[in-house]
Amino acid sequence: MKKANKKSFLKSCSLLFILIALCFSLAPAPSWAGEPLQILKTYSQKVIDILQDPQYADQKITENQLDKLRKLGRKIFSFEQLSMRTLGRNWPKLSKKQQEEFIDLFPKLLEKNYLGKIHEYKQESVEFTQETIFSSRKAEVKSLIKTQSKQVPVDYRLVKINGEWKIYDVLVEGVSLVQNYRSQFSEILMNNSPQEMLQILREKVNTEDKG
Amino acid sequence: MFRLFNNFKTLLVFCSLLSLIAFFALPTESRAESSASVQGEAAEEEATPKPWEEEGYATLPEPRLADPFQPVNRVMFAFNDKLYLYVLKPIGQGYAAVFPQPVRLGVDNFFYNLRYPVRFVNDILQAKIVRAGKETTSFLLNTIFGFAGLLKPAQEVSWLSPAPSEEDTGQTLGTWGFGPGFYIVWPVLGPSSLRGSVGKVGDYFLDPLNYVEPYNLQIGLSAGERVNSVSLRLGEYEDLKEAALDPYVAFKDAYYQYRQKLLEE
Repeated sequence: MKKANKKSFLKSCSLLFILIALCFSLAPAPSWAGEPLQILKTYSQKVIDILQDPQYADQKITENQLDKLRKLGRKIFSFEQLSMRTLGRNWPKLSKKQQEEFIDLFPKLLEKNYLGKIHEYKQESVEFTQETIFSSRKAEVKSLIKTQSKQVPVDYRLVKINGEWKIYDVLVEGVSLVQNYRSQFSEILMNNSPQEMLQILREKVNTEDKG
Repeated sequence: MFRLFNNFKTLLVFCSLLSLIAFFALPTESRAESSASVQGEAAEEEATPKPWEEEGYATLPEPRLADPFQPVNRVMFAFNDKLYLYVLKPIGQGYAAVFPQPVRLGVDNFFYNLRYPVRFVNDILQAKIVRAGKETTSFLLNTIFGFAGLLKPAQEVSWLSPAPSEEDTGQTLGTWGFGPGFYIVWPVLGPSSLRGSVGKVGDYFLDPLNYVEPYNLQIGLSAGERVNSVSLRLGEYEDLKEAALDPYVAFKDAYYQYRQKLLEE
């Protein structure tokens, strides 16, 4: 059983990765606010359309496609909300300027880590399974990514800002992206100043990809 | 080896381990925390939105899974990292080059099906009767119509799909009120907790693979399963590690969150 444990752990880790990929599936904001599940469905279709664009069929992914995905991502995610929640109680310890830099840098880290691999998911299918409205401004949408070998639950948490639903957290197999990074940042901030933390983040964002 | 574990002395050791975990791990703080976050959710609507303080995000001493042996754990983590990169991964890659994916998926399914007793017994111990029924039905369908579990025909039955999450002894202990204790990174086996480690002992006795004789065959099968599993997940570990600012902390948190989620299901 020990192996099973390890395996499911790795599995859950991989989910975290897939979840972000899926996240970038949002669509341009409609003039009227639809229900969260419907919105995510629409955006997810747009992501698939971009990924499967026949004009790039013979390539893994092009810069052009990545640009489009990046723009979509910035429409469906609230990176400000995501950043604030990622730092949690450490957030007010950053100066206004540092906060702004964090909101700029952190999404870049996410894009770098997840967007570059999104093409690996181009053949997988996504099924949106459930929508829970917690309050007038909080909702959760559950989905299932089906791959050849497994089904991965991916949940999106949304918050309504200025009448539009935006994603602020993604959970892959129950592992919250925001919480995972928060645990890392609080460890870093225990031993480093906000300025040093930003420097670590900058370096991470600017490191060349190995792959 | 099997005989060794089968004797009375070992049972005694297991029982004393259990009482040890009870002693260390009983206060389930995580429960209190999750109910607090539910209340926070309700109260939050009227309050001025300060997103960074929502949903328990404010709880600062972050490590909700205690990690008193972090220096040792970090060494083990580094060891496992090298073990994966320089041993498991190359073997997995070679294996994947020889056997096509459908074959490897079949092998994966076979071992999953074989571990049915682990899931069934723990369903029962947690009084999850419907789940136990689903597991049993799936096991019978997959064994009889799926070539001893190589295929998963049960997944075509809507009542049985998606398959319920795998129950194990660690979760049973959690359901009974034992807290996770503290974080442990075992060499080779990877991330665990005190509770998870005791659970693994229980799982060991429930896994049919560990009753295979002779012992060499059992070892071979275990290793084969591990390699097969790695071959189906090449790149996942690397991606996660690459995405992390502090991989050790990232994996610890992912382990904790994932086990919490399984426990809640």
